[in-house]
Amino acid sequence: MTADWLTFQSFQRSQGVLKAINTLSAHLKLMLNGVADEERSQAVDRSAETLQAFFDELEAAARQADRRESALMLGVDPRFREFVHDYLTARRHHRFRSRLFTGPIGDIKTLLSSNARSDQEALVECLAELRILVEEHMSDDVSQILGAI
Amino acid sequence: MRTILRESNLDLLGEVERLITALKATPVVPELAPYHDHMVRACADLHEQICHNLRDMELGRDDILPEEILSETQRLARDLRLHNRLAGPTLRGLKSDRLSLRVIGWLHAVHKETTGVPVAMSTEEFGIWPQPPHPVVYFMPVSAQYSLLYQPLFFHEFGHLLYASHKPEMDSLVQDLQTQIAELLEPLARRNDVHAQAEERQRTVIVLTWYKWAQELFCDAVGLMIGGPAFIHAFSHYLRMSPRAEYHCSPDELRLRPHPVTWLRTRLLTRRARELDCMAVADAVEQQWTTIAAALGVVEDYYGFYEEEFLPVIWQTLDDMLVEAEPYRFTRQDVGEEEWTVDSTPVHLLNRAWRQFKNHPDEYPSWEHQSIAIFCDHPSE
Repeated sequence: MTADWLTFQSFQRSQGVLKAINTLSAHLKLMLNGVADEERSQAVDRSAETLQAFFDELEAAARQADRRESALMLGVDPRFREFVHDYLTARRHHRFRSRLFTGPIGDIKTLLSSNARSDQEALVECLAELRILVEEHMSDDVSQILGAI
Repeated sequence: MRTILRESNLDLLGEVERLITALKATPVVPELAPYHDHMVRACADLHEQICHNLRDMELGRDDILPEEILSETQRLARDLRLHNRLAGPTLRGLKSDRLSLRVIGWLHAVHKETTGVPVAMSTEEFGIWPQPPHPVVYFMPVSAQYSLLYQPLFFHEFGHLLYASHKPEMDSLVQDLQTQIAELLEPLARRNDVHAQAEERQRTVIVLTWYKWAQELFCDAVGLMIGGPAFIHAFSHYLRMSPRAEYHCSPDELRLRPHPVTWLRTRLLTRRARELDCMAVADAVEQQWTTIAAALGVVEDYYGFYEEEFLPVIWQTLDDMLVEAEPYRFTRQDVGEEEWTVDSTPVHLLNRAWRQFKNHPDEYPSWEHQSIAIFCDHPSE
């Protein structure tokens, strides 16, 4: 009766979010550079949905942390709580410069559905910085699930 | 960088192809066929994603997508390592896996959320990798795999899958529970000194600890609802000779411990067992744990992580979680005196096994051997 279930779920969630980040980011960059990218079109829609759901969860948990004392996030699994903590710390310390880390979290959901070039450029910046945070966060899960040499 | 990425992707491609070849060449028992088929498809999908990376590089897109292709290659490398782990249960499949796979297969079939979800079993301490709708891997120690007695512990692990299948609703119920525990812990008067700040930090730790504890207690309740006396016997026998920490932990050990102290879990299990009219087993198990605790010189104390005044809100939360998840509930026949037949449920067989083990321990091995053969040989529905 181990607690691996939580680590496994966290690992899979991070892998899913990274896949969505990379797919959407690649698609937007190619479009912004005038390169057609029909091959990804279906995957792009799925990626946007994955990220939308992820940002909904992030926003809800971050709102709780803002409201309560001691950053007490309730009903949030411990690994995701740690991610939200990392995200809020990065915001407070001005570690990143994209709108995901400087503006209201809700803004990125607007960017996700926008067709404006400036919004798409801003979204690419947000996704690049989110990728860094997710990859850092999942390192513990990776060593627990996959082991280390 | 282009050379490095191309080389790594070609290397990954070769590894996936070897994995697919190995999977396709491996004969599998019928109970593993859906999982095996899923693994072959998942590896083919992985292959396609690696090819996509290579195509992007051939088209010179890596100038535009340097971070994306690097991150994707790293992600796919992790996925390949995971697939290698997930392929283990089929590549190393044993005929003896059929017993557990049949019990789990029945369990998945009688719950609407898990019908048709492919399952596999691997060798480790009891556990589960639940990520619906993806295939599920259950873990069980080797010696337990050959016996009926500890199969009911899968019912606890299945609880984690039910939780994951109803995660938003379950998290909301746990959030309410944590809020109520936070209120119960609130001091009548607030000071503003270093000591008060330390106490507040401790209250925060207790409240956060209850996220995992609530889920574990829910899984215990699911195990009992499904397995009845067989579950509580299996739980108690498996854990009662555990180290002292399963009876008593210091406050530091309790901090963010994944499971509640097992003595507390046993108390709540026996309480629910009485609610389900399993009086005899509840009394017997509670007595055994009290006797062992006395022999260890342990005094029950959870240092504020659990207090009797928490019980009503914990109980209500667990009841609500059970209503949400709707696990199979053992029937009168499952726990009755009638002999198990192939038309009956695995729960009936497991309860019958524990009665046989308790009442006729000398005859148990041959009875079990014969029963497993009958259970595994009859055609599954």
